[in-house]
Amino acid sequence: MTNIIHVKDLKKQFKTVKRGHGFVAAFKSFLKPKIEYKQALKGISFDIKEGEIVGLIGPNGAGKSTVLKILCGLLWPDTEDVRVMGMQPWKDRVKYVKQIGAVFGQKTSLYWDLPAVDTFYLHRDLYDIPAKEFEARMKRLIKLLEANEISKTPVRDLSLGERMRCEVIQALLHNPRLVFLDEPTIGLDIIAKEKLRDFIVSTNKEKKTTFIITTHDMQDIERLCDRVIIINHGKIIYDGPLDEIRKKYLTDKHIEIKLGSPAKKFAFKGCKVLESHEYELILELNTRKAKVQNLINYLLKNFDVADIVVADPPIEEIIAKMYQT
Amino acid sequence: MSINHHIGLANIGIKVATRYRWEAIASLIATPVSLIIYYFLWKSIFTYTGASVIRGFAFNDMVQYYVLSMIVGFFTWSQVDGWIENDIVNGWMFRGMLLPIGLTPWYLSFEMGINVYNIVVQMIPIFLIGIVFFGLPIAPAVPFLAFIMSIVFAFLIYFGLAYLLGLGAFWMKRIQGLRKVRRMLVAFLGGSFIPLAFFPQWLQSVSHFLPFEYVKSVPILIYLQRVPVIESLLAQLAWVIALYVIIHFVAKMAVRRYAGVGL
Repeated sequence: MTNIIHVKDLKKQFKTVKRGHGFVAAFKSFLKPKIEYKQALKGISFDIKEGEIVGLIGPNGAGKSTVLKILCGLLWPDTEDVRVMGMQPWKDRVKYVKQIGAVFGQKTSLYWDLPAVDTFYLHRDLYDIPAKEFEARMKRLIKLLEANEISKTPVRDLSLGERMRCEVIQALLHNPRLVFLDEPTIGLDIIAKEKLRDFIVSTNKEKKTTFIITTHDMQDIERLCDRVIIINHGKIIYDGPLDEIRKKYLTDKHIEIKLGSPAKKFAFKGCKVLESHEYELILELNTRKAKVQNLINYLLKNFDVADIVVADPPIEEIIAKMYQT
Repeated sequence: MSINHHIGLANIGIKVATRYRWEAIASLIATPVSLIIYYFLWKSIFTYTGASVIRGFAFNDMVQYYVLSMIVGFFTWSQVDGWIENDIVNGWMFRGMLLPIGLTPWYLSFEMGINVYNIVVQMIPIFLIGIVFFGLPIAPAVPFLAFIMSIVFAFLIYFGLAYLLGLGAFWMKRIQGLRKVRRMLVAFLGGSFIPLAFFPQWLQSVSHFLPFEYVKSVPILIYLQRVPVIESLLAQLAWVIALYVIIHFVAKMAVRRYAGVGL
């Protein structure tokens, strides 16, 4: 498979005006704004192959949106080495955006006062989609996302979940090879989230559409993405499959023990007691310092064990730890 | 840009113009009301001064002037600077930027859609009202065709001016104050308040070299056959060309600016 996106050593600096609090500060800022520079991206490199679904995650302000905006052609980076489908997104904008689709979950691409279907027809004209093809595609998308009634109601009267379905249709009508989804599941209920995820997966399978998704919902990542790129402080701190994170960064195991008789004093090197009740212990074992096997042996020898559960901490915890480093 | 892009956007413009039923109806009523006010204002001025002709305008000419001013006003009108300011301040500019269409055609086609709506529901009715109630003469074929051409140019000039100011929002973000100045200038120097013939001679001369009178006064006077047709149309055309050359470069800078700071 060929690379659809090539990014090398991407940098971007922003200029911001700092302003203090209060009247005097406001007046000073008016006369002489105090300008500060912020390095949003400090050299980011990655390649993405056609047909991949890639999750772009990171804490707030890490630089995710900056990357996304650059790849959508909305932002000029400070470096030049970016190729998406053979083009530099920020140059020749009109030609470039014709081949991508985008949903920015926090904002709307639809006309607020008009039904979404009006925006769909506008896209037919702007993207030069042949009428027959357009009708067929629109019908199919509306059916898949159950948006028949919704798309005929003014957008301002829709709920977030309903609107999001229309946003996704809007982004896919022209059959783009590459689709950017910025927090597509934000504010959706569980069922709506699942439906949207199913839809993304099936579109990816059928049409080989490449998806780049940013999200704070790890479920999205687990269900959708073959690969995650984690960004923090303007740098990539991880790039690879989600499972690899577990292998690489998972140094702890959670162990829950149910006891047949009240617990005695527990002491084992490399193991922390998270919670302790009379008939129950919850432990955290650092697998670099001790083996699970040794701990279990120790437990069986010294305790009246009724049940043991050994589990990984949830992925959210692992990633939260990565953010903090 | 193909004609389909244009029609698609104009369609949206029409739909946006009609989205709020009561607003559409209210603006329909507002125009005849202001026409009636001008009618009685000038009636009292003519009665008070006792003059039958003021600055080359008899009372009937004056009424016709204002009827035409309304008619031209429906067509040569644009709030594109307001749309741009709105899109920038609210962070909606990305929508247009993500669509495969240039910034200028994006706004121009949209505004033209609104104007098509205005022609049908406002301009034509006022034309008929003017002819039936205010004695507006039907111009002969040549001045009439020249008038049509002239209001198309006038629209392009008006749009161009408003659009250039709107592009200023890419740097200044809020341009409300300047928009007010823009409206005042066009209304005053364009001849909406009073015909330019009422200005002192020096101001009239200066005004020939400003774009404002070509937005309103010139099309009206073409209809009333008070100015030479060819010269006036050429002057308008020159302004259209000049403005769109400037716009071409400023729009490029604006898009570059947008992408530079990530508005």
